[in-house]
Amino acid sequence: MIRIHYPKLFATDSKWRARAEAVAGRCYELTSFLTDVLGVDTVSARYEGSVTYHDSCSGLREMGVREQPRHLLKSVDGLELRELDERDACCGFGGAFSVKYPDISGRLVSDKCADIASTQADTVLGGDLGCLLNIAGRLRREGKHTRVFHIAEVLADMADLPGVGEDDTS
Amino acid sequence: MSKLARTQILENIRTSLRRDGAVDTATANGLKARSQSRAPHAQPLIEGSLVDRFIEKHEALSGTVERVGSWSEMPGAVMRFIATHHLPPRVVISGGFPRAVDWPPAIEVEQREARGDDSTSVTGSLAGIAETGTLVMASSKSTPVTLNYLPEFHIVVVPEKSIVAHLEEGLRHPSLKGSHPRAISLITGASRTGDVEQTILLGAHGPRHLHIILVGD
Amino acid sequence: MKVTTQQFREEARKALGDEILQRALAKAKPGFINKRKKAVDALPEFDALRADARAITEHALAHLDYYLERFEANVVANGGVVHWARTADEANQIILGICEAAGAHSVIKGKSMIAEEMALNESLEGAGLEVVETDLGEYIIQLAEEYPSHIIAPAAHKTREQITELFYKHHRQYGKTKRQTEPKALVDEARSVLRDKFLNADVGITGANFLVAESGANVLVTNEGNGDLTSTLPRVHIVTAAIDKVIPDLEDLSTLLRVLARSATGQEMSSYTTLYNGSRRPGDLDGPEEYHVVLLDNGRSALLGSEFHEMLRCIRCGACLNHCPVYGAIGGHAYGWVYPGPMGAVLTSLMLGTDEAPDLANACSLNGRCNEVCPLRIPLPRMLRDLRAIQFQQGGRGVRGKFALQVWAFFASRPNLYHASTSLMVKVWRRLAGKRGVSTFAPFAGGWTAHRDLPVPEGKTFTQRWKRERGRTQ
Repeated sequence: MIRIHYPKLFATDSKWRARAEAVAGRCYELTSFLTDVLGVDTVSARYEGSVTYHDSCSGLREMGVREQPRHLLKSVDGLELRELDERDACCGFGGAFSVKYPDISGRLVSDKCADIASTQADTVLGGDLGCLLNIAGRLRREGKHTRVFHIAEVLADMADLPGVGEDDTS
Repeated sequence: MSKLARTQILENIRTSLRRDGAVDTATANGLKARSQSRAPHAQPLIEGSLVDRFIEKHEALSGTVERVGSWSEMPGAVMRFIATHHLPPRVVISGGFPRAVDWPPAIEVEQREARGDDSTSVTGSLAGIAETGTLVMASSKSTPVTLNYLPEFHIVVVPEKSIVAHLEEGLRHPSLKGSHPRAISLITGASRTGDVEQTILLGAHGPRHLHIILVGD
Repeated sequence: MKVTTQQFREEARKALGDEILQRALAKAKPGFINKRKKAVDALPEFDALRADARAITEHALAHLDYYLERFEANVVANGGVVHWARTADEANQIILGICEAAGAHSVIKGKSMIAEEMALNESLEGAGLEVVETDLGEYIIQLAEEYPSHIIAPAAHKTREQITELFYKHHRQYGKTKRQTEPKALVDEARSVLRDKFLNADVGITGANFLVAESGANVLVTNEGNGDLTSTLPRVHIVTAAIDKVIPDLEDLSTLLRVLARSATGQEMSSYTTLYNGSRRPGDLDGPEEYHVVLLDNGRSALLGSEFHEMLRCIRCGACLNHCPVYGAIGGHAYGWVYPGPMGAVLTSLMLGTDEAPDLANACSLNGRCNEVCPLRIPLPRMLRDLRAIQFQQGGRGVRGKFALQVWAFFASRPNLYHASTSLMVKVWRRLAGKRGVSTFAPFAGGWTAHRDLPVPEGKTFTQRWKRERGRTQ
């Protein structure tokens, strides 16, 4: 949103355009920043489990994020990556779309959860919190225990804390 | 009424395009030059034998091919097709084959446009396009288009040397220069539909089977 | 047929619960997607072709008046007549006039989206003419009295059983009394029934995939061959085409044909691509005696040069529909008019207005797949956003959440207030939830909790935690 859309939104605003462009120019999706800018190849983290990755639409189509998270996850000890059948499918979040058109959004997220279930992975990761809230919310409604984390939590070796939508069992 | 509509529509177009009137002379000359240039845009790369590629594409679409050495063998190939498919020994044909054809008496041949109940037609073609396995036909006094679309079985005679590489060459076939046929037909495979549960079925309205006789000389 | 754009929500809900429709959609979708992917993957030059296609259509639109005049001159030179219509009504009147002058009783039609836009069939039938659709999918929905649900496969929403019943009911008058259940038998029966119509019709009406200015040709792309029979057998041939269909020359046509078939059905070429050019020539044994082209504007000239200009470059391939998750879930009829899916959401909103079709621009997750697969790279998501902005400014129906946005804007433009209120909110929410990970209800967001639980925040905002963690490590 910030990187791609702020410059467009402020394009005709003489006062704020330069600031918007400056901020946008410094904004990156996390895994893209780590891989493309910082050149990180490995992280020292451990996550025992099978993981599937949800690519957000804005990451995929607006920011060219596809290989970067996978590149980083490769170096996480104990992590087994299983890809979804329909990697390109929208999870149905779409911002306000999820509350304005709940029936359609509900169908899309339940299709996504069915895809997740078919991988039999115990965890789903992603880089977009809107998607993750949506997916976690649906998984809990379905009574599923698949864990949901932002990829940053796994890369930073902080997945010992409760995942998205998870009860605090401490 | 149509004249007023015409004027208004053209005016609206020009207003929307922020132009005072029709394109100026310089632009018009540029547009003319663009039209006169025959340079194609990006085209798929085609390598290897054009004839082989043409056959491969045609067969991939359930088309059948028989190769013969010369025109004199063409009627025999037609007979074989008829026998294979148990068709009545009656064909309706176009005129204008590049060579005179001797049809055997066993087969009844009529040169005319097609009718609703014709089973099999035999026509020539202007060219074959290797890019997609497409046939190019043009309508004329001797090549009525109904022969391409009405019968159930359509046999097309294609000289090997008439096979060109790309769509553009087919559309700009030399014999089309200066003539204005009512119809230029590009035919690729048989008639098909996927309208019943996405199952592809042949023979929706046009021919159910497209057979090509490829002539060597 | 009724326009139901106002009932989008209701229709979408019905569609989601319609098991038969869902089965049909589930069957259709992977086919279209996989076939297109296969064709595109097999062509290394596809992106170059797309770039060329975009340039060609941009060029054509930038000189639309010039190319329309050239097209017209060439049609006339070949013995045809060109009619211009500003509105659908005008176009219908013109066509009725042609039919009347020809003493016509029966009309056969090839598939034409513009004719649906005009509600041409209703107009012709209202004047007492028999109208029969010849494209198999269009024929099926004609029998069912429905709008097409997909621009390439109009009857994609129909199951085999439904088609069996339609044919059984409507073909008895032709002496067909057996209930056909196999697809092949259904197609054969349709072939036989429609053949009769082909051979006896007075007027044939087709659409046009492209109009070529250089030669005055209209280009018809079909797989069935019905368009060709419709263009050839009756004595009068009428072509209905929108003004944005005209392209300069045959090289341009070749490029567009290459991207059209692949994007629509995954074919390299359709079975029948024909350039028709007027009435029968002296000596021709078949072909129509009269040839008319009706050019329809219907608001398109006003879109030129506007922020929605690029919608006019659409070649009606249907790739956007096939890849749209919303279309894939609700099918075409929920869109309420002729054009479904992403391109329909834009075009219908433009042609009928966002007041008439308030939901179409909003029922989109902006996932962007449509733009990704569009052979002409039409920026559909951007146009949908623009339509939302227009709707928002006009304040008309369908503008939900305006007040909520204003409240949020109040807080968001006061950073300290924003931080204070959000940290309070997450703290309270976490307290109320105890150790539970999700809430099952959310005030003002009932739409969310209708289908999902709502994850509860951890208790501190990111900024609060960041400050704490940084303090710890430094």
